Amino acid sequence: MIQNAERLILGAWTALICVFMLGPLVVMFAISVTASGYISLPYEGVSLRWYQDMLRQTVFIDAAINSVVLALQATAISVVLGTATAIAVTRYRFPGRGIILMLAGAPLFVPLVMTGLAILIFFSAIGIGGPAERLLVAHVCLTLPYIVRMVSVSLAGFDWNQEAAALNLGASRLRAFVEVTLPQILPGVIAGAAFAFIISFDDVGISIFLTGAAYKTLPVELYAFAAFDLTPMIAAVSVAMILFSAAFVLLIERLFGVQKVLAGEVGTKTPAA
Amino acid sequence: MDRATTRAAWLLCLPMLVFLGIFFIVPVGQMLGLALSPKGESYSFDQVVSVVSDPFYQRVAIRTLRISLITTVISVIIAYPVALHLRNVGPRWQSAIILVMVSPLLTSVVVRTLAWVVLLSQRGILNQAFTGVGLPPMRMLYVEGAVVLGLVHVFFGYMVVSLMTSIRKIDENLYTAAANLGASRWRQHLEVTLPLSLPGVLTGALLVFILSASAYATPSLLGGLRISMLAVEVFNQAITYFNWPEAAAISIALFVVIAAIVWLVTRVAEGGKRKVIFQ
Repeated sequence: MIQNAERLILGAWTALICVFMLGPLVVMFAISVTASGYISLPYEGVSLRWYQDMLRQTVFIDAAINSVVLALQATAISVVLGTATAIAVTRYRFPGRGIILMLAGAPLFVPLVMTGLAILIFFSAIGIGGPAERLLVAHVCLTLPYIVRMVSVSLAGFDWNQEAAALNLGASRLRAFVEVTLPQILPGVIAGAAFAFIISFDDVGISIFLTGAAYKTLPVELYAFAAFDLTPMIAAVSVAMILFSAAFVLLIERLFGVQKVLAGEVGTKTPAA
Repeated sequence: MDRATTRAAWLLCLPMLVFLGIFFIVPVGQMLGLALSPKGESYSFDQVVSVVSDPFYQRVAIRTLRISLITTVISVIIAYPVALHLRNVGPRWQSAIILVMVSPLLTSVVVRTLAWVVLLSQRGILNQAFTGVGLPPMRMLYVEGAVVLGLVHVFFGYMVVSLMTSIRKIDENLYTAAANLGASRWRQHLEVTLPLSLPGVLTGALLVFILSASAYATPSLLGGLRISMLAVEVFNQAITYFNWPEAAAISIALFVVIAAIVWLVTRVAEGGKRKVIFQ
């Protein structure tokens, strides 16, 4: 009896929180299809005029392209640097391992605005590189900790004797890695890469310091635009960004389960391998 | 450990170390230098002292801590029943609920905050509804409550995940045992769930607190110029006023305050744990 009452109350509360979490995003979607000329629910009919408006705004298109290119580049660099480190720290116990782990996680412990400001000061001092370069550097710092952590977790159960066996059978170090190790750690690497891509694509805290007048990322452009003018187009851009992220969420969910990724539980034993 | 493996390990880490060394450690050090020696002359704490002793920044700092604390407490309270409920439902519902809670984390903070801006603004959705039924429009944006609401929404997923991981691990037999010993359901939660979930509460609370205290986009969009927080001031000084030394000093102060609180809380928590073990 009491247990049923508990279930009911907790269930109702959970439903309420689900509404709280998704409600604002649903409202955003409703606003994006309004036919009105101002922020409102689609009382006066449904239209796609604000999506058309969005596609006519070259600043948003440019910013979207910048964001995708930046996220791809940052993820690529992060995956290479981070995976090498993850392999070293999971495979070997060596002097300095603790320091390396600490350093790899360091960007997570520093407020984003501090990293953003520091990299801004650094690039201004050395006097080379524009917004694209400093953003790339910053986004690699931002995503590295996630890659190192997620790939390390996925490597935890890996049997390194397999690689030794390949070497014994005459494979080169590279071949042993590519044909034995890589296929097995790939799910963790892909999950890490997808996560890093989203982190980079969505970031505003660091990026806001580093974009230039002629080079902005999509979240920064949206932020700047919204601070200046609130029109239903804001909602259209938001919905586009939500759908883009949702595609990645579905991909990660299909491969590993979002909660596992966020809780750092991706392992080599995931069925997707 | 032989020298060859040590060398191999360091070689694997080298690219990352070089990258972070040049593009993270050096910049942060340089920023520190700028705060301690704004004109490139002798080092002093003048800049940091002038920021820390400025009544304006003191107010902003206290507001930052207050907002972050309230956000954290509210998050724990409203996330706890959700994490409890996850024990009661089957795996399908479990993943559905978790997906709803955490997938917003994978959309931009700007998007999630803007959703609140359009709801709360002067001519926003809620005020349209109010005037529609004859109520006067209310001021809901640029107040502390709006910032707290936004921050709770933006970082809620981290709290749920942290609570869930520790609550899910609790052995069902403990409840059976407690029930056999005559404990009411309420008492079972008080004496089994609560103490065993404390590590999750702590992790989630620290995470939400740190993220809230250093948040930029959410306080700036929902708090405007009136409800400023430290990270917003870092941006204002650095970009609007181009005063990098002062911005650097504020961000160092922000970092030190957060680090001190995290250190203190984890120390107290570890002390508590030790006491429990030795009892």
